[in-house]
Amino acid sequence: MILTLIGVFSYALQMKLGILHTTGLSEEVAWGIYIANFAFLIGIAAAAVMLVVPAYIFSHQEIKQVVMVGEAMAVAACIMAVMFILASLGRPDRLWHILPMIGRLNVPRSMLAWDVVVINSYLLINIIMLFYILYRNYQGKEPHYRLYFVGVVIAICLAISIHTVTAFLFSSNVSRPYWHSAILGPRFLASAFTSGPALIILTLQIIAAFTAYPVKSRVIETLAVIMTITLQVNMFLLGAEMYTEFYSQTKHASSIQYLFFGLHGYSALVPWIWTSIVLNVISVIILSLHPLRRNRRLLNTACIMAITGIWMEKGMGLVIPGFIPTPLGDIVEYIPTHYEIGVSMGIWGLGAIIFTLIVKVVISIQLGELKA
Amino acid sequence: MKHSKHRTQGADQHPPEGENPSSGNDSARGADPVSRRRFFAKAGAAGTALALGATSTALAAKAMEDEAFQDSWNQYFQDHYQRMTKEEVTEALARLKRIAKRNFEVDLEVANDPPIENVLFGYALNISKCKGYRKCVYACVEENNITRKPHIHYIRVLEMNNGSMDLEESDHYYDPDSVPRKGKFYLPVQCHHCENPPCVRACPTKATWKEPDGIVVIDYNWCIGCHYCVVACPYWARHFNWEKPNLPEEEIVKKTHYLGNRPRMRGVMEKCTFCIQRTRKGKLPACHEACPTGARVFGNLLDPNSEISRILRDKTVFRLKEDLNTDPKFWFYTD
Amino acid sequence: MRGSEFIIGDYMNTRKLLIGILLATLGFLGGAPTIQFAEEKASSESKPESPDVEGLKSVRIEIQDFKGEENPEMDEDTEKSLEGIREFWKREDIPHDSDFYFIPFQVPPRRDELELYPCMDCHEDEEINNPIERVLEEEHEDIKLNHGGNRFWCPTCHLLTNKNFLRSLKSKELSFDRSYLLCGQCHFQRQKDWFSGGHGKRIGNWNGDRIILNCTECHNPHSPSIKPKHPDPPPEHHQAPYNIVVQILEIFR
Repeated sequence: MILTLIGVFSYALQMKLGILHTTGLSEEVAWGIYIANFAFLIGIAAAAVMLVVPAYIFSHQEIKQVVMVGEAMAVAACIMAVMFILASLGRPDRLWHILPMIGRLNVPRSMLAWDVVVINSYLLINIIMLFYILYRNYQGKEPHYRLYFVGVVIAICLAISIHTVTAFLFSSNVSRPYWHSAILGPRFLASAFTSGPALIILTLQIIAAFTAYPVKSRVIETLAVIMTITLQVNMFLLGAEMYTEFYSQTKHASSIQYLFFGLHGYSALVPWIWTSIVLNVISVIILSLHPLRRNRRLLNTACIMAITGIWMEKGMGLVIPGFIPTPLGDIVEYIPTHYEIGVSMGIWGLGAIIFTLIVKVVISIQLGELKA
Repeated sequence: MKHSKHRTQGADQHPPEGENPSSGNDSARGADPVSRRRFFAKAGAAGTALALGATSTALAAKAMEDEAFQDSWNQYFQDHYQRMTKEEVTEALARLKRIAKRNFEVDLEVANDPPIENVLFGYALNISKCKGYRKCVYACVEENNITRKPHIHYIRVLEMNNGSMDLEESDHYYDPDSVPRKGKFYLPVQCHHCENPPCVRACPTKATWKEPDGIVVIDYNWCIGCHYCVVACPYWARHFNWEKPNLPEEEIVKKTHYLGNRPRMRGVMEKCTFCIQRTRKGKLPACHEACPTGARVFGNLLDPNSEISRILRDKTVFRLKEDLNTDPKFWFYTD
Repeated sequence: MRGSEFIIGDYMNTRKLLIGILLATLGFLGGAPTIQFAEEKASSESKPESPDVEGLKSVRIEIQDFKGEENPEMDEDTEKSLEGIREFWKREDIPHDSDFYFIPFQVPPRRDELELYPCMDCHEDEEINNPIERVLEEEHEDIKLNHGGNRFWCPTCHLLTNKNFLRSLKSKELSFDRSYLLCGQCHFQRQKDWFSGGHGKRIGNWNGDRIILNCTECHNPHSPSIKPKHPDPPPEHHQAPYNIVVQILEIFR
């Protein structure tokens, strides 16, 4: 279903070929919508697998059925994240330079190099796990507990690490005071664990509606509760950051000033961030009130709002103000061009296709329709 | 995967078969119209494949002989500058000369001067003397074969307000009738060649590093253009080639260095290299030569009798963003 | 199953607390930045203006109009402070070594670049030591002396007995090629900087022979201050050539 809708947008990918760098980027704003989407997707990828924790640590049985969907989402999100990075490279043809032996990988110093390592390992472990479990189910046998438990533990560790490494990617830069704060890591985790479950809630309901796959409502409720807590934590962390910056308003706070109120007359992102805040706030209200959360339609609305709000705040709201003002105090604004938007939609579409394909296989195997 | 998808969708219509229907059952079925069609289809596919294979091999063979193709091919697989052997480096330099000859019809001299022993370059700028003429900016553009459109300036002159070091209040785009303007002072900022450079830490492929004589350089054939160094640099010193560099042929400076002002390509980073092609031969950088007021001082920090050492000893010097601990080698001083 | 029940049960009990915290956070988010913003606006309006440099007048000492000194009126505290300073700097003539060191240098010659050199070609048979200040004519009509207030005139720097040379304060000959020795008599502080590299322009190499430019390469000795000039063009923004999103947004703005 998603397949047909988004398949059209994949065409936008083609626009990138031959029109390299007709983007809204500039010398001053070096990272734009691609890295914004990358940061958001890493969160989703990490959180999708973190849901595995209740299943295996707390032996919460219903969540087990979500595990496969979660893994599928993690794989799709990881692939999308990697493609967004590729889209933002100046010389993607030189990608082999980043390989450890053939190229030159700058570990342990470069956070981007670490990001490459952990994201690829995470992708690999997820694909292995997915195929292993599916293959065993396909053969009608149960997967070996020891093997997949080890795999799951590795996946959980890697999930936390990809997220932390991506947060460190931003927060390690001394030249960008907007990012150079300790709270960026926790904020990333909190917003990931909100948007991840939200997306899974929505996709599970879509799956329940279109296939015969059984989705217990207990699962949805647990996910909703997880999401509520993390969204509240996220709002608190955001509040903490705003307080710290706005209380004494040093020059280091210029970026957040630009984001929320505009700086020296430049205020392109102000409506964007306030919309995101409003969405998040309404979402957290709906989620925190039990009767509202129990209402399925309101829950879905809250999920969509939370995802959109977090995407806006963690995507453009995180990446762009880091470049405004520049380290030398200049202000150059950034608005994505239609090329960038097209490519972004194309990559999202491709991710949706991958996710749909994997999920279809998962469902058919799990339902027992596909057997050796 | 595709086969299984079809199966689930059509589960109601066909009884599930034991084997995949499309795999090599033709022989068992004999001369079926379906199998004949399949046979012709297969033959057609095979024939096209053969033809394609033949043409591509022929093209490849021809291309291998073409020098331009060979140069591009070899340049693509070139190793990192610091890992290349002497022969590979010589080969790379010759290749660059050939490419420049082809693209610009100019006889380029691509040097590979090693760092001079016991030299650590330092730069000082007298902000009492800088009047904001921007002669340094354009001299640098010319000397370093930088693209004119879209233009890149390694040096950015900031017009600051007297009494304040607030970079946010500075004007980058001042264009009055005459400079210096009253109540302002001028602060040219370029790569500070830090001793503790954040950009070197940030690069995922180690395409940028600090040479023994203190210059932070980039291997343009290794950079993948991820922009992480731009994010990391506190002095806005890293610049990116958004388009294919636009160099007017008659203005190309022929004396180049592999790590310096040789013509670059689209999609890679570049920055001030303290005019490595000049300074490793003992000459002064282009910005220094161009400054009409003599506000710039360049020299060897390890020589206690050099001008730069004397300035650091005797004058009131300061550096930008000292609290970030980048240990830059570019000082500002006043009279 | 048990786990989720536990979580939900806990929630039921602390629902009110959570809502309270939420409302407090919201209030904070809404209230605090607005207050800060208002404060910031107020403070920016009361910032002092930069000093009016135009208002300062230049000082030129007219020696002819000098009437004589009047002693300043001092109260007790000022007198005490003057005494303290004079006590501190009691005049003692103790010789001391200055650690002045200058870096060896060479200066490109200027003498033969001068248009009107050698001066004695015209000034051969002339009355010397004519004390009357006169207007320059013929070849030197375009020289306007704007150096030293009204305290200098031509023989301050030019040697009247041999006009091919400049004049030191001891009335000795100084070559035009070494005119920096003349400038350094008064501008010794600046000259110290020039000797050690903090002032002036070096050309050629950063190592090896140090070639620095003479004072007069940049400063016109008759009117030495640097005049303002028009700067080279400012940098441009690199923008994407065709940004449809900007165009759409412009419609809504």
